[in-house]
Amino acid sequence: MTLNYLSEYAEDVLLALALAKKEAEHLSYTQRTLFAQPIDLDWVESLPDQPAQAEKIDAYVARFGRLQDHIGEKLIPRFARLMGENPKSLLDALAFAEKMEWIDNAEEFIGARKLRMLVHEYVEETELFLQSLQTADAATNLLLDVVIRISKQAEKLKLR
Amino acid sequence: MRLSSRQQEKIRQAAARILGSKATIRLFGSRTDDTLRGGDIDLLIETDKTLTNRAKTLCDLYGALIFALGDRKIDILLKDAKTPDQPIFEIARQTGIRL
Repeated sequence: MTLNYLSEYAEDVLLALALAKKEAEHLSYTQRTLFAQPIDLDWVESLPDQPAQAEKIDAYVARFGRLQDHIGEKLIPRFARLMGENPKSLLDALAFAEKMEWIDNAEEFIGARKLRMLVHEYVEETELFLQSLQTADAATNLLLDVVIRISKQAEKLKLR
Repeated sequence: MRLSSRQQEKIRQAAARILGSKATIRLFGSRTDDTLRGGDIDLLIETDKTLTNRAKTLCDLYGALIFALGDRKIDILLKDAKTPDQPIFEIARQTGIRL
């Protein structure tokens, strides 16, 4: 039998993966319910009068940020160690993830960090705010996809 | 200015890759002051183009710059043909150093 991962790291990976799946589920729920509405400039302009929607955006940004940080800081580095790599930084970890085809573009992954700030700071600039939300929608799919790809890798390795 | 010529070149390359070579880049804020240490990298990047999604382009620039310069605090103001002028742009133009 070929041992193709370092089993002492398996538990750490499985814990990080379980949390990532939970966070992905939460983010996916907020994404679905937020974007079920027609989000356009009128909608953005009406936000000051819609505290429930503003709260939903806060939840969305927080969940997006939590999942992105967890993937970059925990899930990928732990999985990398399982595979015998030891990334020294977030950028190293993302480069490894790109090589493993868990993410398509490491720059895009890092770039999405900017969205959290954009969605918070530019509520006055409605067009940029709207574009930020639309971009966050696409970036959310990217994050959810990373979790799916890494889950598949874990299944392939029959981690336990 | 407290950016090495290599860092300046990397910034120019990253911006050119995303916006084309005609974009103008200015460093402003604390990094223009040689007497200080550390601090954020504040950039004003201007293009004559009209970007279809300025937020997405900002993210692309940020991602490219983080990979080019290392994971550090980088603030980017991005102005395209349609962005309304703001006082901060003028301040950055007047006090900034063109890269």
